Amino acid sequence: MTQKITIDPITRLEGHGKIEIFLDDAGKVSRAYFQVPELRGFEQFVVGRPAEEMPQITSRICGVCPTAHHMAATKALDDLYQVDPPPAAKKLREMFYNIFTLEDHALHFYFLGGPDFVVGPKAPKAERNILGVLGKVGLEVGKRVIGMRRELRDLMSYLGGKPIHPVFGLPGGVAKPMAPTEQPRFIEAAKKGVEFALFTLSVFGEIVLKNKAYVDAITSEMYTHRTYYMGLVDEKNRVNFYDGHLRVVDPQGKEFGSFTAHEYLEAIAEHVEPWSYIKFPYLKKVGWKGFVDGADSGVYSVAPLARLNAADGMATRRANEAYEQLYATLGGKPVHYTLANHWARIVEMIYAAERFAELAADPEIVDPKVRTLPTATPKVGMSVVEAPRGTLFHHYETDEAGLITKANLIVATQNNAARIALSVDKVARALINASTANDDGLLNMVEMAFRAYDPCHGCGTHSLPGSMALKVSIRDAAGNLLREIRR
Amino acid sequence: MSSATTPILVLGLGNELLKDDAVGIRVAERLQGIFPPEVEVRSTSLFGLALLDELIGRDKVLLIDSYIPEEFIGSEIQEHNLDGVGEAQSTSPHFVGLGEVREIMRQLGLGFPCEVRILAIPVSDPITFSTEMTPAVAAHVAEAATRARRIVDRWLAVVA
Repeated sequence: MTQKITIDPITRLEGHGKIEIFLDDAGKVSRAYFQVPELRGFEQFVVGRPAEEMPQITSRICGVCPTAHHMAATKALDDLYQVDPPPAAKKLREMFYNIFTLEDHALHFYFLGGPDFVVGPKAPKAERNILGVLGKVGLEVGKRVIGMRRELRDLMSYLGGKPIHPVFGLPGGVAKPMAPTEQPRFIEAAKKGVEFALFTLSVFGEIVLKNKAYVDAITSEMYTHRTYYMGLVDEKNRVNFYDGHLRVVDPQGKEFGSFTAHEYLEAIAEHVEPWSYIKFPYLKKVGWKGFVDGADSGVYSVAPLARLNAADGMATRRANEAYEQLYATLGGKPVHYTLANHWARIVEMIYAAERFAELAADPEIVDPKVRTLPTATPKVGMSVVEAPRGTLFHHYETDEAGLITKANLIVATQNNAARIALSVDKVARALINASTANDDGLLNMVEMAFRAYDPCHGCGTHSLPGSMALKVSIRDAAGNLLREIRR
Repeated sequence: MSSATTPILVLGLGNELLKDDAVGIRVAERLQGIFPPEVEVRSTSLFGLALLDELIGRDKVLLIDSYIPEEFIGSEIQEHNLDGVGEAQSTSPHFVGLGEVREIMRQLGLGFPCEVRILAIPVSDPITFSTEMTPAVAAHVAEAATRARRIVDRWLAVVA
């Protein structure tokens, strides 16, 4: 029997994410919890502020995906002021956003997913990091990733002043047009981006798919959950990061429903647990049935694998070929393997690069008309984008002067919170017990369960020495701490 | 971005919207305009691998950052170099530590600065949205700026 343990969410997490693993009297896992600290006071902070500050404010919530918040806030302002940006502005925004997604996904694969697959989940701890990846793929590849990343950030700096916290999106458009003289530079960078994304797919194929142990890990029941999936799609149900409507498919892959940003409150509700600051969104029509998966549970997933599952394909040629290859290899749609997120992320890299290339070469993108001035009285603005980590909602309400009276965000990691909790719990139960509690490799496999989602703790704090803010605790049935690992 | 004429970088790290997490930025603001042209003073909310962009091409870097002490009351400003900072501490590029950045830059031949010092200011609350720091944290800004100035002056004296 497990003694009742109360996890006090008021305990300061000090900016750390936390995994708490509880063992029962037999030394087996009775429950594992993944807790994410939530930043405090956001709604109170923004009330009374001009809504036009939101692209700058929200991009500072999170140091991991500020561009996603910036874009979601910009689109929410379009909605708030009922203004339609000119075509060139929409294309610049979408291009900017795909550049960001390409860079972010590349970084994730080589430096986050990489240690799990390129080096191996049970490799010695000293090798299971970015440096181990460089050792495996070679320094030239490492230089290529860093170089490409810097080039993409330079492009974002040209458009937005700086890559992080850009001054770019405005209600009704963007801050500045692209000069025709700059277009060749963007076209060339996009071409390199496509080449690099395809190269990354080949790296994944060589290092991961040709390794039976890795493929077995990807397809193992331990890393499988059969949930609903949600993602933003265009009018032809193809993945789109910037705009479209939300589409939800059930665990069998059939369309369950679709909705616009304005309808998110009718589609999604949030469940609260006493042990966590984060709320757990679920599909209202299905209902909250606990931390379980299956068609009767309202738990859903977002992010790369979910986006591909929710769509009927990719809108660009090479990405769609990669999409088809993924499903042909993994047994058809939908794919429920959490670790397949890493593969799906590469498919999305290819799409981001190809879409970047399409937009960079579009003659209309250098049109100097990039803003429609708002004239309507603001009241309510809602938006949705696909952050690299999943669906992101922004919702503002203002008075007639455009001062915020209410704001609500549902961030990507929140959308995935229930499924992340399921994943951590399932892997911990499969691997951890009293005798394996000291096995670093096994503990790493628990962390793999949530790393596949690339969760954003969202705290953006700068505590020394700059290590990842995560604490894993293993406790016995009485709640006594057996082992604690800080990363 | 780095410049050949600014071999010394003073970089305040922080988030201006997260209460005490702004302290690194506030210290950097105090240091604006007081150094000769070979010193660049900047602020950033970047962290992890993104710090790499700031370090490339620099000879010496002073990072001004916050830290969360076990007990805030009685905690003091700390000064560190990179001795004892391990190479591989994180499993995420979002939270890559300086040790890892150093090793990545060395392996890729990107020229890690020959000296990096860290001035760390204790904070009480870096996770509440506010543009006002805890008064006790704000009180550290002047001392931190003085100590930062001493470090940079020492570097400039060596160059001279």
